[in-house]
Formats: sequence, C-alpha cells, structure tokens
Amino acid sequence: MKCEFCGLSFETSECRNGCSGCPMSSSCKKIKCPNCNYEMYPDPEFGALKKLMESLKSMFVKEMPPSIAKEAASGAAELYNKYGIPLSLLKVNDRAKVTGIDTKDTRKLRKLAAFGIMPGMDVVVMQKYPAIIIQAGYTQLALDEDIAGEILVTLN
Amino acid sequence: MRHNILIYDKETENAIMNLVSGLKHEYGISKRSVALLLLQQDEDILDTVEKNEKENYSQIKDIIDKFISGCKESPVMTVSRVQQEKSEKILQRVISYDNSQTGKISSFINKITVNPFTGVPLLLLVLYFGLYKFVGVFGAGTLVDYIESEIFDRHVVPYVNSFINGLIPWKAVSDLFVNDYGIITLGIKYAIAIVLPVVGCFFLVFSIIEDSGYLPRISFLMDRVFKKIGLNGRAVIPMTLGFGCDTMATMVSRTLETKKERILATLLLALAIPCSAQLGVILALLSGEPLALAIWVIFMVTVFLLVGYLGSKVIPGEKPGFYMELPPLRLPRPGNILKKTYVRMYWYFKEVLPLFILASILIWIGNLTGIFELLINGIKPVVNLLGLPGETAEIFLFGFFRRDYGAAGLFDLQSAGIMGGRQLVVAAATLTLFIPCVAQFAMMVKERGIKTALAMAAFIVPFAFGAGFILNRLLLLWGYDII
Repeated sequence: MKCEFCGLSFETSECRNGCSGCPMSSSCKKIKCPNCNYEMYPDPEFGALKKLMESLKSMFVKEMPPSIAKEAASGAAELYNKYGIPLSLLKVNDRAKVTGIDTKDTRKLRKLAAFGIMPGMDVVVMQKYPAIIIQAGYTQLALDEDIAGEILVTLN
Repeated sequence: MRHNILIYDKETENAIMNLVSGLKHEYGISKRSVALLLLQQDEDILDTVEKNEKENYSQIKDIIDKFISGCKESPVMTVSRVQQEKSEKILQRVISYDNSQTGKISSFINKITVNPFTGVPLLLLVLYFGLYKFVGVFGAGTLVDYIESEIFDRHVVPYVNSFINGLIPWKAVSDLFVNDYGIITLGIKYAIAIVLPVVGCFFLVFSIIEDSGYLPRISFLMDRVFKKIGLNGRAVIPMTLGFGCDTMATMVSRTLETKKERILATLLLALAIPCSAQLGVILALLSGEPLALAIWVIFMVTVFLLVGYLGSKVIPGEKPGFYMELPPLRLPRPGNILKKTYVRMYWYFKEVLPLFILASILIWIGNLTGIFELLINGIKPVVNLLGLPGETAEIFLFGFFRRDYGAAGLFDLQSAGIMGGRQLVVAAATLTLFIPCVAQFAMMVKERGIKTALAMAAFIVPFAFGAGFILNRLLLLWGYDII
C-alpha cells in the first residue's frame, strides 16, 4: 500500500503493528508507515460481504473449476481459429464474415441460405437482447442464441 | 434465354446430368430442377421421386449419396451461393441505391421498436390503443350500442316482429324467424349489430400493424417469453391473429415448424385466446369496472402461461429455433388497409352469417323439442357451482355454436342487471376458456386430426369449469363483489 502522508509504497508485512506499551496493540488494525510512522487504516476488505456475494453467486452461476476452464478456453481458442467464432459471442457493432454453419439440419441450412447467411457473406451485429439482430446485405435478421451459436464467423 | 441458366461447378453439373438421365418419370417441372432439389436433399422431392421411380430409385439414391460424400460443404450452400452470385449480378445491372437519404427517422423508430426498454412499453401502448380503446371501447362500445339499440332494437326488431307475427299466426313457426331467438332478431341481429363492428375494427387495426412491418418486431420481443411455453417468437403471429378469429388463427398455426409447436399453439388458441367478437363484448362488459377487467386479464395471462409451460413439458418434441426477417418499417397505404379490411370482413361475414342462422335454427329446434331445456337444466347445477345464476347455462350452451354468440348473450344478461361484478368476471373467464366455437373445432379436426381435437376438447371443458370454480372461490375469499 501507499502511505497517505509521505507517499512511500510498502508491503504491509514490512511495517510494525501497533505501538509497544499500548495495551490495545495486539488487536490494533492500524498500519504505521515504515518511513514516517504515519498511522493509517488498511483498505477495507468487506470480507463478510464478499463471502455472502460469492455464496450467492455460486447458487446461481455454476463456475467451472479453474483448471478445466483453462483447458476448455485453450481448446475453444483452437477450435475458433480453425472453424470460426460462434456468431452469438460477438458484440454489438462487430463486423464479421461467415465461415460456416454448424448444423446437419438441411431445412435450417436452406432457410439461412435464403436469408443470405452462407460462407463468405459479411454480417454486422445490430443488437443482442432479447434476441440477436444481424444485418446481412440489405436484410435484417432476428435469430435466437441457439441458431446464432451455429453460425461460425471470423471477425473483420 | 440460354445465358440466364445457372452453371454450377463440374462435380455438381456431372451429378445433375446423371440424375436427369436417370429420372424416368415426369414431375411437372424440368428434370434439372428436380435433380437440383434431390442434390439438396429436399424431403418432399425425395419422397415424390421414391414413389414415382420405384425400382429405379436405388440407382438415383446412389448418385445422390456418392455426390454428397464427395462434397466439402452442404450442397444447399453450394447451390445457394451460385444463385446468390447470379442474382447479385443481375441486381447490379438494374438497381442503384440512393445512399444520400439514409432514413434517419425510420431507423430511429426501428430502434425504439426493437429495444426491450422502449419496445415493450410501445407494445403495451399499441395494445391499449389498438385493442382496448379502438376495438373494445369504440367498436364494442360506441358502435355496437348505436347499431344494436338505435337501429335494431328501436327500428328493425319491432317492425319485423309485428310484420312476421301478423303474417304467421302460429307462434311456434314465427319463433323461427322473430321473437327472442329468431333467425332475424337473434342470428342476423347478433351478426350485424354485435360481431361485425367489433371484427371490422379488429381487422382494421390488424391490417395497419401487419402492413407497417411491426409484427416481426413483436415476435422478436416476445421470443424469450414464448420459449418458456414451448413456442418461439414465430408463434406471435397466429396468437395475435387469434384475437381476431381463432378459426383463422388455428389454420395459420400450420406455418409453425414443429409438430409440438402446432399442437401447443392450437391448444392455447382454443383455451386462452379470446377472438375479437368475444374480446370486444367482454371488454365492453368489463370496461365499466377496471378492476374486473384487470382480474380477467391477469387470470387469462396466468392460464395462458401456466398451460403453455406445463404443456411444453408434457408434449414431446424438439425445441424450436427462432429466426425471422425484420422487414423495414413502412407507412401503410390507406388504400391497401381499407381493401384488406373490407375483404376480410366480407369473407368473415360470409362464413359467420350461415352459422349464426344455423345456430338460431338449432336453438329453435332445441327449444321446440325441449332438448335444450334438458341440456340447460343439466348445465345449471354446474354454473351454480361457479356462483353464477341459472340463466348463464343457456349462454354456455349457445356459446358452443359461436363463442361470440355466447359472449353477446352475456351482454344481454348484464344489461338486464342479473349479474354482479364477481359473477361477470367468473362468467367471462369461464366462457373465454370454454370450448371453442363449432367452426374452430372443425378447423382443429381438420388441421390436427380428430384424435388430437377430441383430446383437447376433453381437456378444455373440465378445465374451464374447474378454473372458473377456483376463480370464484378466490374472489369470494378476497371478498370481491361489485354490483
């Protein structure tokens, strides 16, 4: 942390806690600057609040363990490089070129092709919620996330 | 026009040539087109070719399979790309775009309609003014009042009554044409004075919304809600149309992609979507009591979502995907709107008038033979369970002949001051849920098959009365009652 008085940057482990002779020194949370001895309070940690938020978050969001997440991310990056990014991951105003459509359903393929969604076409993301709107040529198209996830693109 | 033929790559052209020489039967379109559709694995054409080529089919299937296994991407894409490139070349020769006028206003309005924060309030405003104010208050209120009480009750009915009664001295026979349930005084009067103005107003509003390009934007906004009930945004169109005429909407539900969606949409239309005639009459009935109207709306929305949610869990089938073009917003042309409204009213009237007359005749027969009295007496204890007066039994029975017919009868009962607020809400809710009219039921049989239609009816009748019973109990518990 940084001393509020003299401006020295230091590690909290470097400094003395409390003042010798003071009966309250063992539980004193104040920090003394090693240079000028100015007393400061440490940055608040909101430990209890953080814990509560985390437990709330874990109730709703199931996070992948970090090791698996890392592996998945690197695997995904490899796949994205090879085949393209799912359109659903793009942000508003992103411009991209369609590289492929990841579905075996020929009926769906035919519909998308009729709207001009086929490899080589340029698309712009116009909106993301409550569904995705893209502009392809002079056509505006609304898609849900599942279908947008099957359209693979590369960012322009 | 030789130069206009699309040329595909070598492999595709080879496969097309093999298929064209392999096809022995005539299909009404060129063999090249058939071959192209076959290569794109079009289910319909595969079926037709299999049926017509018989033993020759395995050879054809071999050519298709061999071609597809050699393809890098789906043949659908290959074919579409060539078509797209060609069409773009043609367009470039004949179309030039004026980019100076980018249409700031229309793109602004477009943004408002698709942004959920502004789009949802806007949708509610459209519903409030379009459906409630125009169809409900103006159509079912002002117009119906004027045509029914001014024109019919004051001038037409007394004149026709005295004329026919003077002409036909036997009351049993003259009842067929006039008096309480006659063809002229009931059938034709209801059709012209109550149903036609309401339906006309609805068709006018619907045509404006339709022509402006607003409907796909409603689909887009509602997609997430409709996903929860096993449908998707695409189902907004038949559902909205249902507020006009459920029979028509049931027919339109065939545009939905999966069987699951079609069954769910048909059920929800039959159960929870009131048609414009019914809606108009109910709005007019309850609009005097905003609280009663609010209870009815909340109850119907709850039933709609609940039955949809449970139905989507029970009915098997795949999850439907949502994709839809958002056409540019346009200012509707008054000429087109009026023409559309007129044509729809004309066809609607042509369809409903004979049914109204038939209903009048059936009621006459039923009354004359005493069958109806038996049936009505049978229904009476049930409606009494719902806390409704015995007179409503008649409405539920006649409601089957046409939903609006029943609702219109409710109107008469209210005018006579027989029912209070709680009873009106319960009767309106039960009647809305209750079995669809004869025409809609016939359409359900035609579109979904007799088994499904009967199963739905078997679900709807007890459900409607059960829900009405519960609603009545809840309102009693709450202590809601207004006279």
